[in-house]
Amino acid sequence: MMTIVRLCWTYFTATTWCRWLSTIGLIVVMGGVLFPAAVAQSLYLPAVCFAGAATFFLGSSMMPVLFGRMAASHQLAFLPFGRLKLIASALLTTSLVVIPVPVMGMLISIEPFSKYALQTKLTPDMTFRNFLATHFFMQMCLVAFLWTTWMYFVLWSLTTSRNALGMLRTLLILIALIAIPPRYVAINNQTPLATVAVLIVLSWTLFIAYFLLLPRLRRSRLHAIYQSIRERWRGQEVSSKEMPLLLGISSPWILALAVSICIVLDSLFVPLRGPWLFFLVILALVSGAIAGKTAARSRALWLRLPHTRAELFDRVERLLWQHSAPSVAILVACLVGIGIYSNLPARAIPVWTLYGVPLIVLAAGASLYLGLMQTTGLRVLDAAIAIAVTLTAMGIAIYAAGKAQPAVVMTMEAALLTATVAFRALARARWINLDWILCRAELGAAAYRGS
Amino acid sequence: MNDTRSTERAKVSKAMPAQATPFAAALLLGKSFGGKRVLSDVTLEVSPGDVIGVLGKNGAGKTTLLELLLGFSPASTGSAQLFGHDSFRLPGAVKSRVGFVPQRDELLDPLTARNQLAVIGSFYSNWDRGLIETLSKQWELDLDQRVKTMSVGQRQKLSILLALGHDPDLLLLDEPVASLDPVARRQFLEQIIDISAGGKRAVVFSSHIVSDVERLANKIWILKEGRLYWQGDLDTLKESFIRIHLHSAASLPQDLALPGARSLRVEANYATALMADWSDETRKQIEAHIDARLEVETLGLEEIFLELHR
Repeated sequence: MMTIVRLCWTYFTATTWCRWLSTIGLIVVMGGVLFPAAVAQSLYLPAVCFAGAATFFLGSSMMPVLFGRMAASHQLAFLPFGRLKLIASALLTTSLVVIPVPVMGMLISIEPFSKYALQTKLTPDMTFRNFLATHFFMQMCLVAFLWTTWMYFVLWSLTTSRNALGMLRTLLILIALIAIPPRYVAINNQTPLATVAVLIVLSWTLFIAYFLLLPRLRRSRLHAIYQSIRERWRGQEVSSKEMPLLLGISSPWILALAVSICIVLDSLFVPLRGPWLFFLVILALVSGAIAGKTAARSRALWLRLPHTRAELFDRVERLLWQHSAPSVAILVACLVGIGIYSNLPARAIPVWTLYGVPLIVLAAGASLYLGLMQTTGLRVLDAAIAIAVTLTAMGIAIYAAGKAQPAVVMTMEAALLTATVAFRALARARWINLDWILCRAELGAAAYRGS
Repeated sequence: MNDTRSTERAKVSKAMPAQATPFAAALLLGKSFGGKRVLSDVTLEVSPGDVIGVLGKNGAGKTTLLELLLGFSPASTGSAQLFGHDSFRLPGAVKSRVGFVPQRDELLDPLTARNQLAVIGSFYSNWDRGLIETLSKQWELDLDQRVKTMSVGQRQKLSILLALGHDPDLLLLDEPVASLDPVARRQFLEQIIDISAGGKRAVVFSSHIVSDVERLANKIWILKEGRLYWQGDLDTLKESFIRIHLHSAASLPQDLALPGARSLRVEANYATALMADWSDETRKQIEAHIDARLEVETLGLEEIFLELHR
């Protein structure tokens, strides 16, 4: 038990940022639990309380990273009940993050109801109070547990993705989360508790099965055949692609294939036009994300190429654009193709294309340069900028797909272009002073797998 | 054993030209990470013919020093140069004269050793396939084996081959033999001797295996807590640091004053001390002031290293 508690403690306190976020989150949550009884109700109170819960969640955001690393380590095989304790720690962490949500939700809901009942001289309806205390509480508990679980999945997938296949996995999870629940799992007041509970059990069962079976899967004959085919293919491509190979970007078609698969899946779940540009922009953002590893991987090139750091940046930048080009081309083709397929009026297609094509290219470019800016690991400010850019690009996509004013869209895209140019300048400036002691690649093998 | 070592070092030393342009140089070089100083005021030179062993405890700054010299990282203070050029802004011509074996290999797991060599070889116009074939046979390295199936020692051998293939003038090796078996280690050391024997090249290598450093190096850098604590010829180091034993008829005082003593232990009429900067002058001074029989014991490099870190 001590191991599980220790692991949970580590998840919440792994870094200075985690410690701060966890502490702030906890204080706000505690305040949220205590305040509803003491202060007048307002719409701000629940917002602050749930912001506290979200901060508490962010405080534990290292859990998927630490979990992933421990799960992949050889050490785990020798620790007594290692896997079991690790899974238990993940479950406990999820529960700890989830608990404040229903507790606060219930307290915030009960208080105004009671006051209303007193003011109106109505006898409080015990049935309703019971509903709040049981069904409402349980529903919030289960729904929060389910969403937190899925958010951890996304974080885990993002933090363990080192190559196009990893990104494909992340994209698939994201698509599943964005597309499936609203369409097939309407989680609202009417949703039976059993449905949510089944989804939780299913999610964790799949996860635990994957986690427990992974070592066996890796030893399996099927995996050996897959590895053999993969390596044979890799072996043949060595001759002409040395630099992309060392940077982990030698196979642009894998990324293009990943993007294509996502588009096909999107097309099964997402209605046309509006969400389409939104999804294409998400995919464009992801296609540039592989650039985040190149600064560290370029260490292997420093003594082997006659380039200065600035020249190295220019060359890596060219190679990254070449790497992203096929997937961006597919996205643009899909955008235009879907416009035609959805029978948009002839004059609407050029306008839509005028909005969409630059947006896709800009999204890919912005994420590429944001990736190239990562020269000393992920800084907090960079992460904030990346989130802001992602949200902005998505916002433009949603706005452009609606009844948009052309001038507004153009202005927004011009702003994104300006930001992209600024990111490039910043990335280049950082590369000119690139410090490979601080910017270490993971094992070379991982760099190779990145292609 | 000592004869063999002396012969090996003499082979290297003889070939050294008297005056030569330094291959690498550092002037008051320092490095800090987030306010923590890991290297301070290092001033040094590497000349053709040098085989320099870098010694230091874990965290002493060996890897940082080598990586600063190679321009992997900007110096926080001072400067580092390779072949007269600022290490941080190395021109291509200079880079092609340098070979480096990092502490942690940067091999591409799914490739065969041959493919890995082909990938890296393609960056150099003077890649010596013959040398690679010869060394791989000598080191019993199967070039058709996949990197990921190789043992740690085999990976190390391959990393060394990657650094040697373009016949570099300056070879820097960060713990190159840590994972090699004794036979491979000996073969590798012989290879280093061959490389440096012409006197036109230089080798800098860090190692915790002090016997290898003693066998091979003609110069030593000792790093301690981020500072270059001692640098110079190995022979000078061994002459400078000695242990003396004093046997007196009467009891010796506990606060025995010995010029240059780094550590002193007095037990009645016997005293022993580690002496730095030992010279005949010091000996005469001691003999003049203390009525005792003086014995001088020369120390091995390992003993000196341990004494320096006590």
